[in-house]
Amino acid sequence: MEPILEAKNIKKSFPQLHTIENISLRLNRKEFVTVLGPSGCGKSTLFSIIAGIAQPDRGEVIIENRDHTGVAGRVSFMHQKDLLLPWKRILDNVCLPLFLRGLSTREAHKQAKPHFPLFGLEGFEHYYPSQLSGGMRQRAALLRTFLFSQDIMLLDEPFGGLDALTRQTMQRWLMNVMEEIESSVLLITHDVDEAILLSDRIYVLSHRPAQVRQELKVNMERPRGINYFAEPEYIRLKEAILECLTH
Amino acid sequence: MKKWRNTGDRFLSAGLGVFILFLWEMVGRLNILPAYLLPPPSRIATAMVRNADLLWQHARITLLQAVLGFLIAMLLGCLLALWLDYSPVARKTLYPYLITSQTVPIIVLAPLFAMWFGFGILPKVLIVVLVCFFPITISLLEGLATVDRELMDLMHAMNASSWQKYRWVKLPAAMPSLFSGLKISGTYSIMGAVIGEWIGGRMGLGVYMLRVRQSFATDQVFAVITVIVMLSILVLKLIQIAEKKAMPWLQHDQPYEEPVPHQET
Repeated sequence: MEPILEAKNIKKSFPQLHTIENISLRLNRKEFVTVLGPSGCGKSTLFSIIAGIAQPDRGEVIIENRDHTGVAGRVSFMHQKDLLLPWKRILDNVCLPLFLRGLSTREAHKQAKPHFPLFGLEGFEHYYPSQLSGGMRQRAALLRTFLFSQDIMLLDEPFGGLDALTRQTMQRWLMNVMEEIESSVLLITHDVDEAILLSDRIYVLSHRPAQVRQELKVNMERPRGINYFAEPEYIRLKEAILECLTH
Repeated sequence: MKKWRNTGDRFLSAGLGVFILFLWEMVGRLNILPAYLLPPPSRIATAMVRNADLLWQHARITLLQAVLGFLIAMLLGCLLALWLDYSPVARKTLYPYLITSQTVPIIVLAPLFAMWFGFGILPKVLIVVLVCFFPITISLLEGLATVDRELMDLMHAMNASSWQKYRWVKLPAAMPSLFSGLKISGTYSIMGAVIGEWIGGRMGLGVYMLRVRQSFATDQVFAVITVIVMLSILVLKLIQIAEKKAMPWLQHDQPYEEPVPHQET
């Protein structure tokens, strides 16, 4: 399969901190790939490099066969914090990338509105972010990410700031949404269950300086049911990942 | 419940005011202090009513100078803050001078302004500008600097231009800080105009105040002070109204309970 995005031999150090050592990964079209690693191993730095808002010391980022190293604005990027603008209503918040592209208010609203039901935000178009719960704000942030670039999305621990129950609901919700949209997604997480539930493939990173320890394929049918964790494949993967993370 | 508590607080505050006025009145009535040193509130009120026309004539000029100076200061202060925020070189070069400019005592500057610019409205407006522009500049500058770093990274990742970063993120984020500066400046603006008028001129509350003081009409001095306080509060209230209009999102902060999201199984 043709990769839509490829990071080759990425290396990055900060003064007195050697964060990333020679990481290569690829993302195929319509694939969901997770980068799993211990906290503070440099996953977010890796994402900043792939998103083009940071320069690697070495290595390159190739998107659709073209060099995008250090060039921002090609892929969309979602953060652990929702980063919604408190002064804009939800509809205008999710339209932000369209406004930045120069669309008029009417055109932008017209493009965004059809997606509201899928993202569970119907009826909340005219609320301010502070009026919504954490889960809803994350969904709005995801819709904004989706409206920026539908083909490649980077999600940096999108549910990390939520409580355990909301997080589970959101993970299942995202899994269902992935059935409806045609995006390639690269997800960062340190939640093993989240990685297995959502991914087609998983890269397991080591401690700093981060390297790819293992690449695992998830051979489980989609959509994955509520008791996916009872399947032998799940158990095998979880064992392999934990083995890899703890050694 | 919350509303009731607010009303309660307001009663407390108003009650204290009434109590102080009552004590003050008693000090005069019981001849503890003679009226030419500390006129009781009733005398001040009478002086205000009797001279209402004259007070308004002077207050009009002061208000005009204060508002004009405040608006100019707002324009200059905002432009300067934007420039200093946009250009780190300008910030490093000018910031020390900006601080230094505030250590020059205005009261000493005022007579110089009269020498340079005469006794018209100009030197007074200039003093108001000098008094007002610093809090505005600093508050906007700080507001712009404290914008969430990650939010700016996101704007960068979305390819936003400098103008778009200001338009969508930096300026709205700096609004609360800017308005606290505007409120400080607004209350100072009347006082600045009065100080300007002390150096001379034909009209204005400062001029009038000097006149009545020289004729030992203490009740009228207090009447002028009351007018100055009232005008300052008026300006402050106007800014507070503008603040509410400018930041509608702060009026809506009741959180909404999440409904169970729809799920296919």
